[in-house]
Amino acid sequence: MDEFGKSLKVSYQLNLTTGVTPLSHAIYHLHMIIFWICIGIGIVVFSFLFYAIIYHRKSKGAKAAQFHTHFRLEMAWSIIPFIILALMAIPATKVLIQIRNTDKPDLTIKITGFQWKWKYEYLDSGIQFFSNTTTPFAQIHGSQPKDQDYLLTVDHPLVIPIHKKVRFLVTSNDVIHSWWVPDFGTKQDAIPGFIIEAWTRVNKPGTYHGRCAELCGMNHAYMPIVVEALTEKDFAAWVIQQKTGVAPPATSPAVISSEKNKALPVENKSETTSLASIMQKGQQIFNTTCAVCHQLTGEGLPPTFPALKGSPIATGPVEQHIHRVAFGKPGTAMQAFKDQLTDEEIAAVITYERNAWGNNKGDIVMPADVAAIKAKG
Amino acid sequence: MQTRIKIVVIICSIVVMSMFGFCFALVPLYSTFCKITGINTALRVNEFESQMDQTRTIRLELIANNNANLPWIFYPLKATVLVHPGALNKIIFFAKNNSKKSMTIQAIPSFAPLNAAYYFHKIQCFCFEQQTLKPGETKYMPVIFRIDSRIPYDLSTISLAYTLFDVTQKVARTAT
Amino acid sequence: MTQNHKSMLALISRWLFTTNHKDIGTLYLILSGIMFFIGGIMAMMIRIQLYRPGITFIDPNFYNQLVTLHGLIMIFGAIMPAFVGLANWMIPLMIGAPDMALPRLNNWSFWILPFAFLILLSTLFLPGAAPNFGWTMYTPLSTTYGPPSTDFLIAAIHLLGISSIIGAINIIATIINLRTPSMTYMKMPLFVWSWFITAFLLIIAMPVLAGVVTMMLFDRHFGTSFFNAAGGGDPVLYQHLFWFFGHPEVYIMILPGFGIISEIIPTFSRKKIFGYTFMVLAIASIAFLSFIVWAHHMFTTGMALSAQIIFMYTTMLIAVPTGVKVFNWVATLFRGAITFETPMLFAIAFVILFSIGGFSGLMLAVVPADYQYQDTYFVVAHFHYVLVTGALFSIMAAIYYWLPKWTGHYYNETLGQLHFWITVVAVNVTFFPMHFLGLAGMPRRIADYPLQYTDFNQIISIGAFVLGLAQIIFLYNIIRTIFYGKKATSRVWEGAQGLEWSIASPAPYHTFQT
Repeated sequence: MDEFGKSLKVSYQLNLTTGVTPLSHAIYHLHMIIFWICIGIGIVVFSFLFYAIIYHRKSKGAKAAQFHTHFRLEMAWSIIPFIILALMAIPATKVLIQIRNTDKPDLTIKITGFQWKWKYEYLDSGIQFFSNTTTPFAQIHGSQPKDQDYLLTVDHPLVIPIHKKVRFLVTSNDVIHSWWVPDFGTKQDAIPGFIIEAWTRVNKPGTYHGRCAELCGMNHAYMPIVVEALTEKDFAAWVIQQKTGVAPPATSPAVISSEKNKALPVENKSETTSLASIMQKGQQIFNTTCAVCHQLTGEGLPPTFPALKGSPIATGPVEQHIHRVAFGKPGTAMQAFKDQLTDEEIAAVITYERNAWGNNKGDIVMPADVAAIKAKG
Repeated sequence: MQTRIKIVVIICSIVVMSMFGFCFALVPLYSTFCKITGINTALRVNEFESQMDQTRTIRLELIANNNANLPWIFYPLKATVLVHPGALNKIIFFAKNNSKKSMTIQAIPSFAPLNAAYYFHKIQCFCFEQQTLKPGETKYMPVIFRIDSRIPYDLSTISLAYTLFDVTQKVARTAT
Repeated sequence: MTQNHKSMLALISRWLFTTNHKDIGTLYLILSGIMFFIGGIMAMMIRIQLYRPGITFIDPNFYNQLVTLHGLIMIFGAIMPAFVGLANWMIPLMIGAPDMALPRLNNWSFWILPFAFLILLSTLFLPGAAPNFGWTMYTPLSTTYGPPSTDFLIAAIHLLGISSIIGAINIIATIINLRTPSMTYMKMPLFVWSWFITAFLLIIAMPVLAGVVTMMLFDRHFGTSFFNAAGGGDPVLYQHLFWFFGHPEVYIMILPGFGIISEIIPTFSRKKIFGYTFMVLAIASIAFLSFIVWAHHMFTTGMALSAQIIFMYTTMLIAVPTGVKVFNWVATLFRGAITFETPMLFAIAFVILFSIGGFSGLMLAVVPADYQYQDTYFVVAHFHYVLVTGALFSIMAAIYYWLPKWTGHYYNETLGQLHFWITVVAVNVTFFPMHFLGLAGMPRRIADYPLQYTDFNQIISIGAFVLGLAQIIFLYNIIRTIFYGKKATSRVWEGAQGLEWSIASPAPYHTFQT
């Protein structure tokens, strides 16, 4: 499933993926063994059952036999399944030990689950970034036709090298999530306050998809996982690119947000000064980043997700508004966006929030205002 | 009511009560179990083997987490340290309260792999008590520890994460 | 006051203050029916939303509330009260007792329930949201992040627990003390045996649920940290405690079903149950094992390897006694003289489809494979095979089987068979493709999904609607039977054995009076 077009062709996928890692292969084989054992037992038992219901009908003149116990037979069908299960347990235990053996990794990545996005931190190189869904709000709500890769794309995929043992340390910022990529055979619950290990060793370059598997609140369905497995050479180049910030492509994350700001191309002056164009940009960011909670209408879903329409923050002092967006509100789902969005983006989205839905404050927030408040803390 | 029925009812009620109690009893039982296996424990293991073993080096990865978007800056000064089993070591975490109010946090350690905690002997740790920082205040928070020299040979890399939880409100509530 | 008013009052007070086991059994069954349709409507709404990708019908927050309430209503509102209702009706008749041992408590244990469900359903209309974290109520989503209505849920669960515990004590006291003198334990009908063991599961497991939701309440409001890592607690501890209740709960919902099937198959095979002793032992060992397998719901939480291995082995072990039961049912059918009235059709469908649920359960027990199955639609398929084609089919079979005894009329066989065939086809159209979705990587409890899962979801939604609508036939057939239908004999079924068939149909208000 390296391309979405292909994954659509297998939309009638009936069986588990064999995947691209030693673990996923081993799991697939176990899955097939236990499946055939079940089919075998099923055929034997159901044959007797169907034989009885076809040939031992009263309408066919069957007379009921009188037997109603047979100790040896019953012992046999207690013991034989036990033996089959004991045999099954051996390979299962072996694979399980393999799954839990996280020793001697080549690379460690910390994965943090957030409501509702993932954060990846490469402990060895210091690279870190958030990974958000990029499916437009309009597609989710049906006002725009859905792309083939609906709910399968993120802004910054996790990038890992192939043929290397990659160890994941999975944790969570808020509630329990579960990081799952079927092609890797890796699923690990993310539990706040704990780091839990998992690992993978991908043997084929490509793009792999996964999803959050544990109910984590409203937008549980909207935190996809995308992993790019690169050859070692490509991966090394990617790391250098990330660390130096040299010519990062528009979709690549940067190590530190200030570097990201610098690297952004200077925008056309006439464009940035017009309220309409800022509003348009702000609306775009709002719809992809904020609307999942605060809703397109700005009415939110109180009490968990407060309304912005006419709210004291969005219609009050602009400094407070910037501070709230930049630093979040601790203990709630409102996150600090200062490292997730650029100053420009924060300024645009705040401008939008202060002028949309009848808030009509008329403010235009400048990136410099945001930078100043970020610096003050 | 017949006596025999009464007896059944009394016995069943005792079972119900004791199961309700058992549920609560499981909490300390579980933490004892966790202490033994080293899940979520800030407590010291008393019995200890401190013979230094310079032939072995263990890679200790330090990880800092902020829970629930805690507005603090928190990171280890060194992300990775190499330590010998049995030797006394010191690691330092930096913390800064980036919010506009005084906040109290509790740091919760977590080990990967799980059983590493059993061999990790903390002599001093900022996780032993809650830490309060005023707005903008910074603090260097040390952990002094030793790794038991009986640590199994297959434990060559240990990850130790501290997660900061905001307990400001909780502390305020118990104070009043 | 007019005559009408008086008779109205008399009618209300008859049902409100009744201590008669048959009345209370009927009340339980009516409540269960109402809850079954409410839970069913929620399932329909879920299926409309999942018919197409995108937010097409309900928003994700409301979707989560429906998922939560569908689970709670079906478990605590539909399946459990139905079994308790059947126990109330049939256990005294089967063991020759005049009534339950504790008739007044019996009345209470029923009348707590409507209030519990009013509280539970009222959360839908509270400001904020109804509980939206799944029926498993995992912390911290249900504590720190739970909506205010969670407290109502906790109150409702306490009431449900009290009701179940009182009911269970009553059943134990009845079975121990009120058996007709010649009925030794090993002569008890298997339905009575299965309920006897289930009642013990209830009094052991339900207090743990009460304890765990109490801790949740404390964590939410009184500053404790049972499940909050900040105060030295652990969210995973919640899961351990919950599933320590939750797994026995699963068997609470299936063991009485085993008992029902063990009554029906011999009747329509005109042959004694094969291996009675092994059947009793199998139920007892399943009940025992249910307390040492709970962690198999949490294999991906990062628990110690040794714990994973132990729980894998104990979980696989459950297949042995469950297998014995299936083998013995088949052996009972074998060389019988079988007829296929509606209860028998449901019983045979139960044996086959429950076995499929058992097979997927066995697959889920294999920890490495569970890493791929956990929290996917494969699990959803598994537990719906066990609970719909298992527990629910056994309840439907029981209702068709005993309805002539209760009402004195035979149900309409044509409608019964029509109901069966539509249901059995629809149930497979609904739940079988869920296996494929799960294996293809669709997580459970998601309100929206990528396009590649669309086709199967549409098939499932269509199946679910047919399944739901088919139950109207069931309801109509039951109501019709109460008023019309061929007069039933006291034996009702040609091959029926047991004390309950020795009394007249309909069963007189007072039976086995001494």
